[in-house]
Amino acid sequence: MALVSLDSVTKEYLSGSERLRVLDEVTVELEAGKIAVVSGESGSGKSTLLNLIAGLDLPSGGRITVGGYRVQALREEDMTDYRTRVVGLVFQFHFLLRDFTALENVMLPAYMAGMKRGAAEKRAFELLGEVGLSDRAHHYPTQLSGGERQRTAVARALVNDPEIILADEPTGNLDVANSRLVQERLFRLVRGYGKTLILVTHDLELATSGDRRFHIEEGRLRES
Amino acid sequence: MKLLNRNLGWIFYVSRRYLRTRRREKGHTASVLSVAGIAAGVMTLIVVLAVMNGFQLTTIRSILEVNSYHLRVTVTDDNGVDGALLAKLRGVPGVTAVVPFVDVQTVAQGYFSAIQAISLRGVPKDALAMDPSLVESLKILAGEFDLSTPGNVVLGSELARSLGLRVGDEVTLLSVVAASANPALQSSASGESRPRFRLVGIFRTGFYDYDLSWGFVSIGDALHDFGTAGPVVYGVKLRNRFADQAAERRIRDALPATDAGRVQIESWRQYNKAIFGALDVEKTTMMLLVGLIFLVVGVNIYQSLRRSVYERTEDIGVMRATGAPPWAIQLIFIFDGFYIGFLGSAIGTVVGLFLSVNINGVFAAAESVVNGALALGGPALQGFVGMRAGEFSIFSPSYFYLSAVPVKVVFGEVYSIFLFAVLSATIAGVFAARRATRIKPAYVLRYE
Repeated sequence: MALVSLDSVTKEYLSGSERLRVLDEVTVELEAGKIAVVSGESGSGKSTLLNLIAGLDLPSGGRITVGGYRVQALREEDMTDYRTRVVGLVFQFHFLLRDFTALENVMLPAYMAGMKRGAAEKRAFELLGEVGLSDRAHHYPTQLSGGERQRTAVARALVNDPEIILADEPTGNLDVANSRLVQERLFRLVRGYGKTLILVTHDLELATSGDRRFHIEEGRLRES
Repeated sequence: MKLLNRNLGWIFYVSRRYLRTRRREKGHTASVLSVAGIAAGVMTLIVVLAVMNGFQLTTIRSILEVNSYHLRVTVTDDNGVDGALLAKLRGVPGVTAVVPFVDVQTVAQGYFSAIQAISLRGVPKDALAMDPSLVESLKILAGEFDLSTPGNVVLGSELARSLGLRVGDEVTLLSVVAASANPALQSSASGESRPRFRLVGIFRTGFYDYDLSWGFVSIGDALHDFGTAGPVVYGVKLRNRFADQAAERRIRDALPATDAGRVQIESWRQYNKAIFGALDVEKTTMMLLVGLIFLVVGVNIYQSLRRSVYERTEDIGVMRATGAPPWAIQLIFIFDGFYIGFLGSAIGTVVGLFLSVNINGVFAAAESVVNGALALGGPALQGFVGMRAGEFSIFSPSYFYLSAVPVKVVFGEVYSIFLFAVLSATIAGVFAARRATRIKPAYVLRYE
C-alpha cells in the first residue's frame, strides 16, 4: 500500500472574480522509503502540493491520504498529531525561531509532541551532530550562516521521527557549496532513517536526483 | 480530556522565553512599561487603602471604644444603675466589659472664654477599671481620670484648650433642664443652674470631635446636677464586635421574661449606621477610582501583547506547522500576560507594603528633601513657593489633627488587589491572543 496517495487533487484560488486553478487533477502514489523530487517553474504549484500533503492547506477537490490519515478530513486535534508524527517540514527559508538556539529550535517540536525536555534536548543534539552542527548547538539563528540554519531546519524536521519529510526548495536560498552540503546531509539522513522524502525544487541538478522524479507544469503533475 | 493529557511544559517554556527576550531587546519597552504599570497600580492601591484603613479604623475605634460601645442596653423606665442587671450583663458569654452611663448635653464656660456646647458622659468613678479598652483609647495628657469626688470633671484636650482651662481650674457647666428639676441648683433669677466643676484631668482620643466637645463626670453628678438626663444606658463591649447579633440574643435570653418589653438593645451597626455607611462608600469609591488604573494598564498590556503576536506571526506559523494546536499558541500569549501581571503585582505588593509600613518615615524623608531644596534655593525659591525652609509638612499638625499618619494593612485586601491585578493582565492576554489562533501557517510560511 502506498504511503502517500493523491487522487484527483485540485486546488483553486479566487483572484478577484477569477478562479485560478493551481493544481489540476493530480493523481500519484508514493511508496515508503523513497525519495521523490518534484521540479517545476516558480508558480507552477509545487509548494501548494506540499502544503496540501502537510495539511497546511485544504484541497478544493480530490482526496489526499498519507500514512493512513485522510488529510482533508482531519479534525484539529488529529491534525496536530499528524503534523507532529507523520510529516516533517523543511522550508525554502529556514523559519527558525529567532529567540531560541539551534538546539532549542530542533528540540521544540519533540517537546511539543510530549517528549520530556531532557530527552528532547538529547535527541536534538544527536541530530545536530548528524548535520554537522554539534559545535553550533547553542548559537542563535542570527549567529549561524544560511547553510547552518537550513541544516538546523533539516534536523528539526527529523526530530519527531516522522514517516515523511516534505522539503520545499530547501537549497533555494543557498550558494552552490552550501546547497550541496544540505542536499547531501538531507539525503543521507532520509536514507539512513528509512524515511520518505518529497522534495520540491527548481534546481536542475537536484531535480535529477531521487528515486522518482516528477515535473509539474500549470498544475499538472507528470512523472519523468 | 485530551488537553490535560498533553505536555503543557513547552507552552510555559516558550512563553517565559518570549517575556525574557522582550525584556532584553532594545525598543521593547512595552513589556517593561506593562510590568511597571501593574506595579504602580498595585503599590498605589495598597498604600492608599492602608492609609485609608488607618484613618477609618482610628475613627471607628474612637467611636466604638470611647462613645458608642458595641451594644447599648437601655431599660426604658429605669433612671438609676441596676446592679442586678449589670451583673447579668457581665455574665453573658462574649461580653468583655459593661459600663453604665448617662449622656448629658450642656454648655461649658471657662474663666474668660465664650460658652461652648459640649456632651458630658456620666460614668461610674471606676469606669476605666470596668473597661480596659477605654483606657487604651483615652490618653490622659494631664491630671488623672478621677471622678471619685463629686464635682470633678475630665475634659477633652481641645475643649480644655478652647476654654482656656488647666488641671485644677474651675469650669461652669450650665443646665437649663436642671433648674426646673432641682431648684437647689438655681443660682440666678433667670432660672438657669450653674453647677461648678473642677477640672481634674485632660484626655485625648485622637478623634478631633471628641477631644473638642466631650467630657466625663461621675454618673451621680450627671443624674443629680443635670436633672433627668434620661435612662441609664449600659454600654457593652464584646470580644468580637462582629458577633453583635449572637450577643444580643444571649443578653435577651439572660434577662427575665418580665424585662423583655422594657429593655432595648441597639447594636453598633444601627447606632453608627450613617457614619459607617459613609466610610464604606468612601472606601469603595476610592478603590474603584484607583482601580481604574488597572483598566489603563490592562489596555496597555493588550496593545503590547498584540504587537508581540504580530511580531511573532512567523514563529506562530512555524509552531502551528510543527504540531502546535491553536489553543496552545493562545495559551503562550495568555501566559505572557499572566507573567507580566504576576511580576508587576509582586513588585507592586512588596513596594506597597514597604511604603505602607514606613509611610511616616517616607513622608518625613520627603519633607526633608523639600525643606532641603527650599534651604538650597534660598530666599528666591522660598519667596516663589511662599514657604520658608523647614515649614513644609505633608500632614501639618496645623491643618490635620494628627501626630502620625495611621496605617492599617488588611491582608485580605492586599490579596484581592494582587489577584485583581494578575487577572486584569491575564484577561488582556486572552484578548490579545485571539489573533494568534487565526494565523494560517500556509500563508505565513509562503516564501516566494
